[in-house]
Amino acid sequence: MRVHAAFAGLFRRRSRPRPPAMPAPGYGAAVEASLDLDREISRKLDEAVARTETSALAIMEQVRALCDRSTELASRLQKANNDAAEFEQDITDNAAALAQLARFLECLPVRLQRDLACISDIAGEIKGLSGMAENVQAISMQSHLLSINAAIEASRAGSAGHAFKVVAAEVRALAANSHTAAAHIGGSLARIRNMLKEGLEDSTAESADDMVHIARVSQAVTRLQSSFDRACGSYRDRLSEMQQHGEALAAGTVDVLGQLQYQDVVRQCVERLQQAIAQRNAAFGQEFIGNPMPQPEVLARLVADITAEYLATEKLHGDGEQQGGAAPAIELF
Amino acid sequence: MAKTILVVDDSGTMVLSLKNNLEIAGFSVLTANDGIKGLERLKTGPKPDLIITDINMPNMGGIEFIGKARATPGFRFTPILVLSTESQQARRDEAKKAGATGWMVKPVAGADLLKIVKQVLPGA
Repeated sequence: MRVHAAFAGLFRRRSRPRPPAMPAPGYGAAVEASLDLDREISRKLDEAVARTETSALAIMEQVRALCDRSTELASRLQKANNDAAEFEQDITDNAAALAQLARFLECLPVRLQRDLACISDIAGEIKGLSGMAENVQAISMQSHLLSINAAIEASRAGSAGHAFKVVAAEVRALAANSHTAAAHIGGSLARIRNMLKEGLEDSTAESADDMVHIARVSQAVTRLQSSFDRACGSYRDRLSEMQQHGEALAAGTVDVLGQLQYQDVVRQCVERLQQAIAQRNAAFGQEFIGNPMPQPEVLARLVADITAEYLATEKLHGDGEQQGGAAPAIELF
Repeated sequence: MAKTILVVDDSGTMVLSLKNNLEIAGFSVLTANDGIKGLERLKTGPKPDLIITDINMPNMGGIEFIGKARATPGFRFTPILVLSTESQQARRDEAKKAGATGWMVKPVAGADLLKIVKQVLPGA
């Protein structure tokens, strides 16, 4: 729109009566050559703008890809951190169970001693019973001897002692049976005592071995938990650092993307420059090419007008920074 | 649900710069390279919660686009921010009269852009 307005102004000015001037043969070719140069420069500027746009787009694509990778990495690290937290919780739970087992084992010797003492008391009682069985055997032996003496005395009494002799035989049989039963009881009690003794010895030895083994396992788990805690702490530190780097990268990416907007600002600046040059070239062309009566002073005024208009247009475009007295770069209505 | 922003600009650099900035910040971004395409975007597809538009564009400029967007059903109160290399007050007044919500001069820093976007998009 501004180009058209400038051209309209140019033609309005050209329609005014022209003062007489001397013809300037040869100027036309020179001006035409100069305009060719301007056109080449303009084409090169177009190419340069296109190249900067292509580069800016490529940079933005690559920066965005970097940012996306960083975001993906941070996401994976966060997932790994969550997994590690779950693993840590499992270890903590298992360690707690082992600690509970260790506390139980610590109390176990006291319990074993108490149980052993109880069993020992039982063994003492059994020993007492064994003594009683021996007494029963001794009594049986005495009863046997007594029955023999009674039988002898019954024989001496002849037929009068016949019934007594039968009683003596029965007492002897009873004594023999009592002796046999007492012997069985004594043997059984002895075997029970031996079994208790052996059981106590085995239990004591085995519990001591178990205690040592479990204590080792408990210590190993404690060390494992401690190592894992250290590893988790280190891992969390690294994750935190990664997140900080990721945030810095995202902020940097945003800044880079903002700075790349200058490519568009420069492109528009070049376009306005090309428009001004095109206006000037049109004025030169009209004045010198094919014009037998060129008027340099008219051309000078036209170029001065184009320059003033170009500078005025440039003033309307900010560079993103608030200038003294100008409207703010960002404004909400 | 991510808020949707429509970016209307004829510069590929500007469109990609804004799109990337806004997407990294969690917004969903639609794009159009002139006012006519911008209006088509308003009538089809997801409804944008915010519009950011350039002023000088081929086919249909930003001021005309803002006026027509305001006349489109459903967009009477949608925030519309202008992002232009121009900074003069007369053009701002023109945009304001057409229905713009605010004005930003190119280039705008990424952090400043997100700040102003969050300001006009409560809850974003």
